[in-house]
Order: sequence, then C-alpha cells, then structure tokens
Amino acid sequence: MIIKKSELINKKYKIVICGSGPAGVSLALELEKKNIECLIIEAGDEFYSDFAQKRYEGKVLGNFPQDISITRLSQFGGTTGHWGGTCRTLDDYDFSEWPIKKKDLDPYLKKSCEILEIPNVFRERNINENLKIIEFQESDVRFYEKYFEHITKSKLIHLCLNCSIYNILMENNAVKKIIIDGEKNFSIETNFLVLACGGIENSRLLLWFREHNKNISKKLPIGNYWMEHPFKKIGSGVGNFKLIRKKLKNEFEKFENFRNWGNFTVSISPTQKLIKDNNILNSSIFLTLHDRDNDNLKNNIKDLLCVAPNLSNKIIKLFNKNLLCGITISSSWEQEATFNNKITLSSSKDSTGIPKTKLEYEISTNTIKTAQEMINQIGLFFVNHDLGRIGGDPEIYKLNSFISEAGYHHIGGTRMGKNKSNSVVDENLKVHETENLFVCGSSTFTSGGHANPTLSIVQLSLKLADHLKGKIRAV
Amino acid sequence: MYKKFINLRRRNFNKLISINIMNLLSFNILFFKGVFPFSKKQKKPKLKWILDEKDK
Repeated sequence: MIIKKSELINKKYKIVICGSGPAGVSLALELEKKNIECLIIEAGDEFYSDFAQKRYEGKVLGNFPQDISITRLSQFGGTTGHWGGTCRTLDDYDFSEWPIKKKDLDPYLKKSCEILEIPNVFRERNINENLKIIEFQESDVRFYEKYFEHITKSKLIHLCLNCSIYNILMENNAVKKIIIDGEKNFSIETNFLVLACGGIENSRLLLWFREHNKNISKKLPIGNYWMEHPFKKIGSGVGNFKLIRKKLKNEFEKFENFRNWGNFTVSISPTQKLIKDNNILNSSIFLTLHDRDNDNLKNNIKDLLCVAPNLSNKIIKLFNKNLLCGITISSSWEQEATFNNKITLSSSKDSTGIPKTKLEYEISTNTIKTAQEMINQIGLFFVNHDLGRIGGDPEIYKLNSFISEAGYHHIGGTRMGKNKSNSVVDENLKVHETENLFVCGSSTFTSGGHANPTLSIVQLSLKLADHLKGKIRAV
Repeated sequence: MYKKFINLRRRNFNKLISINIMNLLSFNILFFKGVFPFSKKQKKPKLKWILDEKDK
C-alpha cells in the first residue's frame, strides 16, 4: 500500500528498504511471500522527475567518462525504467574471490527468472578449448509496469514515494532510527535497514552515514573497488556467410539485428582455460554478420587485400556466389576490482544536504590485452575452419587511444567478503561490525564478471530475504 | 618597359605555378582513388588481420 510521508512519523517497521529498483522490490516481494511486513522508501516519484534525478549528479574523473546523472533513474522501479533487459548468470569462475559460490545463488535462479519473466535457460557450448558460445536472455520487465499496482494493493509492502533517507542513528553497532529528508525530528524506528539504492548510491549513502556514526568502521573500504563493464567495437572481418552460420549456428541465439548492425549475431566468451592461461579478463564478444551492401564490407576487403593478396580470387568467388558478408565484432569486459577505482563524497551537496558523488575510475590495462587475445582467438578459429578473416581495430593495440562506451553497469563499492580490510559486507550482505545494516545490489559484487548484473542482483535479494526471515524470528 | 617585362614574367610564372599545383593535386586525387592500379606501392592496412601464411 502507498503510505504518505506524514503517516510515517515516529512509526516502527521491522524492515525498512531504501530504494525500489530490482534489488529493493525483489526483496520486498519475497518478504511478502514469507508473510513479513516491510516499508520501501523511494526518493523518486512514481514517474520520472527532474527534481529527484538531480540528486544523481556528480563528478567523474579518470579515463572512462560517463554521465552518472543519466545512466540510472531515480523513480519507482529504478533503472529498470530504461534498461536493456539482457540477462545472464555469472560464471562459476567469477566467484573465485567471493565469500559465496555460484551454487549458493543457484537455488534462487528459478524464482529470479520468474520475476524478470525470462526462461531459466543459460546454455553454453564450447567451439574449441578456448572459446564458447553463450546464451543470454532478454527481459521486457519494467518494474514499475509489472509490480507497482501489486505493491499499491499489498497489505504487507508499504511504499512511501518522494521520501529519501538522510541519515541513520545507531546504538551499539545497531541502526535504531532512520532520519528522513534531513529533518532531525522526522525519523522511523526499524529493526533492520537494507540499502538497495543502486551501484553508486549505496556507497555514497554509507560514506555519508559513516561521517555521523562512529559505529561504522573507518577501516572498511566503502566506495572502493568500484567497477563497470566497458563496451566497444574491437574488430571487423569478411567471411563466407553460409559457412559461418553453419559453424556458429546455435539454438540459443537471442540477438536479432544486434544494434542494427546485421542479421545474425552470436555471443562468444573465453573459457576458464583461456582466462587462466593468458591471465585475461572474462568478456563477451558479439560477432555480427552484415550484408554486402554495407560500406564497411568494401573497406574491409580493401584493407584485407593490402596484406593478403592471395585471398583475392577466393573473395571474388564468394562475391559472385553472393556468399560474402562483412563481420563486426564488439565486446564488453569484466574489470579488475581495484582499490583506487572509487566513489568518494564531493564538496558540493544535493537538495537533501548529502554530498554529491565523486567517481574516480581508470579502465584496466588488461582490457586491451583481453581484446587482443579474443580477436586473435576468433581470428584463428576463422582461419582454421576457413570461414573468413578477422582483423582487430587499431585502438585495441594502444591503451591511450582506447576510448570505450560505458556499459552502465555500476558494480562494487560495498563489496562482499570475509576480510574487513578489502570488503564492506559479509556473505549475508550485512555491513561488517554492524548488527542490522544490510546492503543489497550490484554494489556488493566482489567481482563483476561480464554478465549483465540484474539477474544476479535479484538472486542476491531473494537470498537476503531468506536470511532476514531467520533474523526476524529472533527479534 | 622593364616594369612591363617584370609583370609579364610574373604573370607567366604565376600561371605556370598554378598549372603545376593543379596537376599535382589531380594526380594525387587520382592516385589515392586507385585510378592508377599499376602502382606497386602497398597501402598500410588499418586493421591488424589474423592470417594464414598462404594468404600473404
């Protein structure tokens, strides 16, 4: 049900969830199924408003520019209001530094897929020992469209819009009250507080809370180890349309006309062996075939024949048989968790009086090494099976000229771990050395993998609901 | 008379220069457009191609 802000004064809830994005709403829905009441407070409105969105403004420093005021949405449903909907689970080997493993999240996969309305199928098939074709799923779910009405009718989920958390009051390492909208007299008592405000806001709020609460340890690396998923076109090629389709055709391809680049796209990822042997990052390649009318095809042929004159006859034959196609290769990468890639508090403040975000981020040098290795591996695969020829874009051979698009996946900052010196929350998403302060969302990921994070965010929320259920009984 | 002579020479010189520049430009345009395929000068490829030894 919808609760007005005035109705919240001096009220007490067992669980308060800050944020109504996929993390917060999935948690609330699961708690409702367990017959547990909770309150969601959302700083934004039912729909987009410039006023709420303005709180997301901040400063970005480093070699990975992105506008953090537009990459996320401050409204009910959060960034699912404009997300792409691509979903995939993290790989087993992405969890090597996590305090939990993939098998700990697997029990929540089926329910998470139901929430996102996607099939619970994430197949992969090795095409050789170094490369595998992987399956993504595409979700059309906008959390506002799917869950807002349900929540307004729910007796157990209370929702207060245009209500932003300003600070917390702690006693003996436990959150006792949360202060709303900067008004000291306006507080809500709670047994458990869950921050589910997104991959940047979770860090910003925790940093701000720490300035006023000695109970949150200064040693915790809040805001550090922040990550993204860079995205870039990294190569091109020419090939035999029929042979490539035959060799890479799979029953789980989902990207028809990917980015309007072509009519067949296949997603390829490195195997664990390739990652380990070459010390590269996990990544996903999108290999798209386009037709012979595309200008790039002519340029690619000209470029190839400069260095491979003996291929002329073969290309002319393919052209005459109408089998010649152009190939575009793009990639997104995992990034290493680096201490110095961080969120800190800026000197200027937002409308509620909380300092704005300052984000410092340098793209990993391993990104171009990974791009080069993947182009090399796919190129060799094409040579070995005589499918065509692949070439790497010049930018992937020089870090200085490597400018990537952002994947708009905000990961880390309140990472999960057992060691308090390099993590902020434990395996149950509880902030170290606190009793009842939890964080949920991609900010808790210990490493980023290459997969889009939303599915894993929902899995973590459902796992947290199970944990909170056990805790609530003890209250 | 001397001045006239100088002007004439300058006009001819300017004319000569302009023709040469035009020739040079058009030659370059034709050359880079690939109209002279008999040129043995090989262009540097933009992409770094993964090739078989037999391709070269």
